[in-house]
Amino acid sequence: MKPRWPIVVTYLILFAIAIPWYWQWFGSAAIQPVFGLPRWVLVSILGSVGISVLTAWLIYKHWPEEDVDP
Amino acid sequence: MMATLPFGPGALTFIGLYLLSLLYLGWRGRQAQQENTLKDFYLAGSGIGFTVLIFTLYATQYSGNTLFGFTGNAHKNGFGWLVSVHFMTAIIVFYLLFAPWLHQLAKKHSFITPADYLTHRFASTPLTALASVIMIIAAANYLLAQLIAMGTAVEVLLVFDVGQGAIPSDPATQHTAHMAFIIGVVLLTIIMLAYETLGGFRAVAWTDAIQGIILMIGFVILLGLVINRLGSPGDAIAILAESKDRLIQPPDTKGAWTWLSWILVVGIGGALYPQAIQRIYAANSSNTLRKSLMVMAFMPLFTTLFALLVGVIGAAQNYDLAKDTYILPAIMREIMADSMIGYCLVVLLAAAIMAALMSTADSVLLIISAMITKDLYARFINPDASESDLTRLGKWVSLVVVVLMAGLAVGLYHFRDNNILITLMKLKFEMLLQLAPGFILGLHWKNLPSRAVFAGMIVGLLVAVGLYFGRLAEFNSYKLTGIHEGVWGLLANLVVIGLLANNFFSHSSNSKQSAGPQ
Repeated sequence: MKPRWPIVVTYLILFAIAIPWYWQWFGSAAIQPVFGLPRWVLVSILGSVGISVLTAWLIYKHWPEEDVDP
Repeated sequence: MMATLPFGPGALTFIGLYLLSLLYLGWRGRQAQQENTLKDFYLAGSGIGFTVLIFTLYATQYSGNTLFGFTGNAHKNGFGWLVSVHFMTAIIVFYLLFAPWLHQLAKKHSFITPADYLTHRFASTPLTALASVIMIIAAANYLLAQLIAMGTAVEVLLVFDVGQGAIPSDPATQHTAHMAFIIGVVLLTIIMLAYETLGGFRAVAWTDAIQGIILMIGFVILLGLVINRLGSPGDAIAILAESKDRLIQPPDTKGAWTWLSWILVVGIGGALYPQAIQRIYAANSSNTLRKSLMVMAFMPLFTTLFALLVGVIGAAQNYDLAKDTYILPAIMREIMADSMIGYCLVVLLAAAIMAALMSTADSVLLIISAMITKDLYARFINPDASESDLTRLGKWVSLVVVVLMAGLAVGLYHFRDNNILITLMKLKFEMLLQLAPGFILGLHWKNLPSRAVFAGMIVGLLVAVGLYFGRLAEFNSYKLTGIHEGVWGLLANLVVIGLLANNFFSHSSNSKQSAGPQ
């Protein structure tokens, strides 16, 4: 299998959004409620939704059928 | 004074009928048996269709821990436990690295256990034996945890007192609690063993379908009831901002590394659970597996996220709880006292809790039986045993293992909260993670030599388990770095593989012989 780099990079970006490492620089804006949830929580959940959608799309469109048996 | 039991005869009849339906499915599974072979008993002849596969994947992956443990963790850590949504999603992402190819190979070569793939790919007895032992230990550990959780679930459902936030400490209630625990372990184990022995994987998967449906309904009902009774997440956040601000704050830098570590540990480890690999083999076609995994990619948003919100809303209620895992029974008690509808829905939720526990435990028990019978007995002790003999032996192995584990669960009743026991019982992902190179790299790196995988596995295990036992002493690397011991082990594992594989290529005359399947 050859890695599909655009997909790998998209996963890395989505996980980087989902893991809330960057919110410490946003001060109190991070916990301001948006749709009843702290902003950082909502963004992290959206990142997770993105990962689920990408994964489902990959499975739907690029499910591998090649034989790996040498 | 002894606490009053919360469930009336109607509720107990409903739960009783639900448990009897599992036995009925076991009997139907036996009737559907096509041949007396290991493949039929352990994989239902690799003929599991989409509907059953999706529910068996779901019910096996989401255990009682999702209900009790995850709500408890959210009660303790607030939105910091949002990482649980990500690591459960990551399991499906990591499946993409090996499941499609492993399924094809399993179909082509009639694999039954995970070790069958390793034998096919690496043809190395030490490697297969070590991997089998790792998987059996990890699965046995998981089974013991599920059995203890079964007893604890019955115990807290029956005798938990909301006012005290604990199980009352008077001798009469303590005795009832102990009895409830033993009955929970013994009764649920007998039912589980009965349907599993009758119908093998077919019965386990069919009961998983029922259990999965009840579990899904349970999660939706749970969140609906909690919001209706205790308020929305928005209300909870407003309260927490005033009283427990840390529960709504994002993690700091070390905390963010821990999130990444959780995603790797559970994402990879969960995908490599032997019972998960068994389901990859059991799908009746590549298309069935494909569709099931597509659905599974979204399940954390409707399961783990719901558990998180329940725990966070509960945290805003200021219950005075002896343990964080009591948050779910505390909420259930409040709801059932509220109205007749609330009572009925909580009864359904109690069935969902049993479903979650049994559906995971039965799958783990079946794969332990398969691995001991096929990977250890048939491979090393009696290679000439017939399929029907091995199938019969497998049923005896299930019996012995579950009696042993249930005995341990009951015997450890007074030590459940002991730090050493809790630490030992959490030791599974650290070990399973060390199998990742064999399964994932082995599929895609055609010249990957067996000795590199074997050496990497040993070094990875030594590092991971060695560091892990540091938790019992003064040196807790997880607390120091925020990174799980299994991840350090996997890094060491990969370094060893990289070094040995490259070194191996300089002796190219031997490489082809050892690298590919024989």
